[in-house]
Amino acid sequence: MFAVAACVSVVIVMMPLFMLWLSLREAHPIEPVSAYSFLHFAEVFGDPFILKVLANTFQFSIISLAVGLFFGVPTAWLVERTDLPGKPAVMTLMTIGLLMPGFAAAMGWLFMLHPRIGIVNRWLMDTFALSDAPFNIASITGMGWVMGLSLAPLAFIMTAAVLRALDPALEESAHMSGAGFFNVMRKVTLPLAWPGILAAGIYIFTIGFAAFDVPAIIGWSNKIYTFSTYLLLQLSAAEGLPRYGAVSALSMVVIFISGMLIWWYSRLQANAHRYQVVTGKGYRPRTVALGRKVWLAWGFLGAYFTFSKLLPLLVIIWASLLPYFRYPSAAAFKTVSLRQFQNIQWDMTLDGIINTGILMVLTPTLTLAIAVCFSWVVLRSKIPGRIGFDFIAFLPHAIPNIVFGLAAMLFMLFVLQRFVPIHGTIWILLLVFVIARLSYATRMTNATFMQIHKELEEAATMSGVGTGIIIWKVIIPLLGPTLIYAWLWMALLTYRELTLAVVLSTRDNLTLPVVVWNAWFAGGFGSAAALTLILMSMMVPLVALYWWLVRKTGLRQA
Amino acid sequence: MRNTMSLLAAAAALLCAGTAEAQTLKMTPELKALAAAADKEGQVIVKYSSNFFDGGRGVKIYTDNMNKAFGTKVKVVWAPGGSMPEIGNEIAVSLKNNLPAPTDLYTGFSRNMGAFLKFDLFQTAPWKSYDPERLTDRLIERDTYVKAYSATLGFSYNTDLVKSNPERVSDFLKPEFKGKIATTAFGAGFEQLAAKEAWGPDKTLEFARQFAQQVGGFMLCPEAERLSSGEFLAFVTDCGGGSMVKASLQGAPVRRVVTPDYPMISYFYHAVPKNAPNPNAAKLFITYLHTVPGQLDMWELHQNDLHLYPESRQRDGIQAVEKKFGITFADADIDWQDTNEPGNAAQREVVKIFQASGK
Repeated sequence: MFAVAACVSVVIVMMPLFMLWLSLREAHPIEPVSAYSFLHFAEVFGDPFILKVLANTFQFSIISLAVGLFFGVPTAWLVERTDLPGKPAVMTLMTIGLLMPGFAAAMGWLFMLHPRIGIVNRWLMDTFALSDAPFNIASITGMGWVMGLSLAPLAFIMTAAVLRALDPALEESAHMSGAGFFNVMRKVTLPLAWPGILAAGIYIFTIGFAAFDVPAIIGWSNKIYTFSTYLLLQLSAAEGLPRYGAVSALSMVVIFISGMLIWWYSRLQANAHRYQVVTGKGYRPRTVALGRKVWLAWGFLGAYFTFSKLLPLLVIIWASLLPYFRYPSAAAFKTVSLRQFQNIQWDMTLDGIINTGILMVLTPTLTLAIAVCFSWVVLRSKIPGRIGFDFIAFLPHAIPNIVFGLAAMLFMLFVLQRFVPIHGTIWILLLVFVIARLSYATRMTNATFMQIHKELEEAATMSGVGTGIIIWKVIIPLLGPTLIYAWLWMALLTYRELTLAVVLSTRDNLTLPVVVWNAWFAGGFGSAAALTLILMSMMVPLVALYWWLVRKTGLRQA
Repeated sequence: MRNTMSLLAAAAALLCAGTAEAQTLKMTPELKALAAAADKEGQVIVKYSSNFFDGGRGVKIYTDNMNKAFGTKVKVVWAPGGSMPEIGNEIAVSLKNNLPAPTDLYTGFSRNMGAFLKFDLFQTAPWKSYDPERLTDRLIERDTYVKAYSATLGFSYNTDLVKSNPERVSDFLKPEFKGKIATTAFGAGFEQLAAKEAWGPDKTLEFARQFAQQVGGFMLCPEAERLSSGEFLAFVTDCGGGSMVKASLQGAPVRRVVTPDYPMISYFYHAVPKNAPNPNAAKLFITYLHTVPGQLDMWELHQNDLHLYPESRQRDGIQAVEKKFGITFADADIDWQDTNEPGNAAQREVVKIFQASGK
């Protein structure tokens, strides 16, 4: 356990150290000689505009977090703690959200609520003779709304496992003492679920901080910069070589902010025993009868699925049938055809499918195996400085993917390529994907480890069982539901991973999102929309498998 | 009868000659040797934007037509890549580490090529001997860089929404465009406006300050859909406008305009990295792109070509602007880039002005 965690930690730590080296090196890395100074930091932070960018990014991240939690946590509660009918369908629909690439959803919303061309805005203005568009998606609030909707499934899956494992005895005791539903929720349920919700919150906040596709499509087109789009601007040097020094200096800020979040999270972990709810004694979650309020629940879920999935999907379908995007009209309907589908390049698409399939299987499997090792070391071992491993596991999440990918690429070229020649292959993608997903996997395994009382392991130890058998026979079965969720989730995240794949892509390691992204750049929204629909339809078997698994294993009742 | 026979014979001869011409171009000994060497390599890896290959469709077209032209069996392999500076960086890093380059062929704007000169990344070749009639002195620089296609400064607009027929960049300072037009976040083209041959730095910066208040948002170079959908009325300036021309040809209400504000033609260049895995195939591919069929392929797939050739589709538009405004476009080649540092510095200021106007 320790050896695996230590080896992976060395690789992870090398990445930000390499970036730190880049940020301090005055000359470009290909220059043989250079002085070292804080020149790049002075250059970046000497520009007052960076403060505006950081303020925008904070605002965007907070709104994304609020929207994500607003939809994700109640959905998790409905699925895990109530008698809501059709839970497998809800869980499956939540996963489908990931199948829609972020940039496609952003374009969908832009075409719905843009003040000039938004279909909904134009319809409202025509119908009610309004002089101005009632909605404006082209704002930080609008961006946060779109991003939050796409992050709600993540909030759902991260909090569902926690809510599923809550000890009913505490809630029942509260009920027996005369506490009402809302009091129990406020004083018992939510405090017990707090570690999971906080973990989801930290995770979603940092995703918002580093998000690229939504800010690029909605924000950039309206002169709203966030950290990632500003960073891309620095990378897209109009002349000469990319400004890796300035980019690295800028990235250090995000690493610092994430470091503070990790510190906060670590404080919580120090009190983890206060939240342990799964014990060896009569563990069985209680479900709340919704009664007539089931319609309210379905209304809430229906609103979420309509906003987050159905409307953008309809716009994508509409766009895929047009030579270029137009407001629905008789003239537009005359141009409807399947031409965008006929023009798809199948040779590259098939390569992308194969590569993505391999990565979808290997990435979550390896990542979870490593995550269990990390969680064990952090939460169960007595190794001095073990909390440092958790910090390291979270580091990849603290580094924006675009920078992480670049750091990995340069690190491979400069340092590792002579020893491990995997640059340009699918294996460098696997390595980087595993490291990038480790923070998510360890959040999941940590949260569950926190809720598994040590008495179970202590009982096994007292019976003379070794550590390996304890993990295999005790820990893994208890982690089972979480691992299945996390595996499927990471498989889907791998399926849609774009930024890392784009940065590290070659002809030999194309993935499906890169194929879609290239189609977007070649032909606009229509061709990318057509390809997106085909890719989403290809994921139907996986979604069906997920649904079947949910029903068969009874995860909703676990 | 004899006349009829003669006519039939002549027609058959012409047909045969035409077929032979279609299958294999006239090849110099140097080109034949290059084709043989390229055949041994078997493939040419091109890491470049999807636009150049029309999203991948062009891979087969280039492969088939090049092999038809030279009688070879070389496969064109497309590796989707990042920006020109990023790919150039990868070449530089790999060369420094004695590793093969990620691409056999680099395409860069003259300004990129100028910046890369000091790193000595690319190999020389006897380009002119491959096709003396097409690869002339005007196209080859330092025996290394080959002009690939011409780039004019201009803008694009939605023809359904803009009826005033703008011809100059300054037309977009009119109130009707306020908050409704887009530009690039990195100030594409402003180093050209700031050149001494055009407006110069001072006038450009003054314009940029006013223009920034007109700009409603930023676009990426290929996002023609934002114009055709009406999200923005115009894209000023538009990175050469290839994607906009493509959208227009596909029926979108988009028009691309070459502006007389900058009386020069810039170029994108091809070069072969010193550490290219398949250098001969790369040189053969470049040579093919300069044949008549190669230029036609580039136009069909990419809506770009070299206006110096008579069959160029860009040529007519450029000549029309020259005639209308009484100007003659000059060449802005790699050497010229070295003379435009004031323009480049002004562009960096323009980027800051654009940023400061952001929300």
